[in-house]
Amino acid sequence: MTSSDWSDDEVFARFASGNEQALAEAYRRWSRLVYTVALRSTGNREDADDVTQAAYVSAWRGRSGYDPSKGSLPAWLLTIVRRRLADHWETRSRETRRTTAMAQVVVEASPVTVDGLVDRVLLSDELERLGEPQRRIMELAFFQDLTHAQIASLLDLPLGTVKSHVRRSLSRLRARLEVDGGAL
Amino acid sequence: MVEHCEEETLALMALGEAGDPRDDAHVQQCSRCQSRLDQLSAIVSMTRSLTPDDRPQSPPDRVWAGIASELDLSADASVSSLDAARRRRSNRWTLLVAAAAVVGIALGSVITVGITRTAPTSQVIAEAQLAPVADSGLKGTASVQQVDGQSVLVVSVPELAGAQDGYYEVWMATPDTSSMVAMGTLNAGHEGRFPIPDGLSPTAFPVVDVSVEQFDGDNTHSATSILRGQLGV
Repeated sequence: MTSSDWSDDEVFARFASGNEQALAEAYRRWSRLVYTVALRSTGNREDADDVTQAAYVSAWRGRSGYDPSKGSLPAWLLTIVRRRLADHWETRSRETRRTTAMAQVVVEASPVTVDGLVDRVLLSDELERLGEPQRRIMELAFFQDLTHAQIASLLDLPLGTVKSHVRRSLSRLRARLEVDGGAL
Repeated sequence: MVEHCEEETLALMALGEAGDPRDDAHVQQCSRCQSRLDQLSAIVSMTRSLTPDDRPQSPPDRVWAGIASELDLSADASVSSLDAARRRRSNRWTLLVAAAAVVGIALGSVITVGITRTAPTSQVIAEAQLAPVADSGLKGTASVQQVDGQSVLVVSVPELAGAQDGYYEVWMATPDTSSMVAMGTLNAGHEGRFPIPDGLSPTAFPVVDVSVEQFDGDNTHSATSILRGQLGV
């Protein structure tokens, strides 16, 4: 069994116990999430690189403080990312204060939006993971503004099937936010 | 005993579908159902506002290289095979979200690109049979199609004869016809193709109506309909 076959829980446990392959696997599975949140928050690729690297390094070094029974590894990584981003913005705003003559108009730049970003990236990722026909159904419901009856007719599926896919897909999105540290 | 709303019902309500008035009434006075609905609605509205920038993207390879070197990891811990399948994972959603972002789905408009990638010509999204009104004896069809990234209302009334002293106009209307949008003119012997304005939702305006209008400069509906049908089911 290679590390890609591990369940998320197995990755969490091995990571906590110091298995380097689990670190690599955690990077494979969640670096896109971490990186994209960082990129969206900083708006700068180099800064996003730095935040991502720092988050994984600090997660690994602080792994004794991670308890898999208390939460998922991505949620924990995102906690670290939030802290890193707060530092980033703090530094940035100090620099700005130093370099601008109009310090009083500098808008408090924003670790506050990080939670929203996390939610958006998590949702976006989870949508991509939906299988068919759930994905098609949700595309039509979300973006085509079709009713479940219209979707059923368009895709030639029973009404009950469409309803149940809609319910399950929404629950799935909600669960992803809950498990992986969304704030919604 | 209180009967709570079913989860399926709440999911559809969150998506904006009009439900049974009894469900609406229940939600208004049940904090449990209200809070579930609020939660789902928040997810729906955030999802509808997603942009392509929200889509997860992979960090450049140098980031892992930096981590491995900073932590002095053994060569076994490698991510060189960064899940190619995941990278390849269908871009369809991306296209859709991209299109949605461009057109502005916040308004609930009908978005078209992306979904049609597999069928580049046109795709029928909703259809209606048009039935005669006031003994016109005419029959027709209407459909909403996606053509080159645009929603188009296509109306066909094969036996339509030339109008006497007037012309035919096609409308999209709300189910109670309290609100109508003029789509354009339909000439006898021709199929009518009308781009649907972004922001006009066929779900909200599902009724397709064909009226007889006079050349009188009055741009409101003449109240003389000859055909009508409702898109969807």
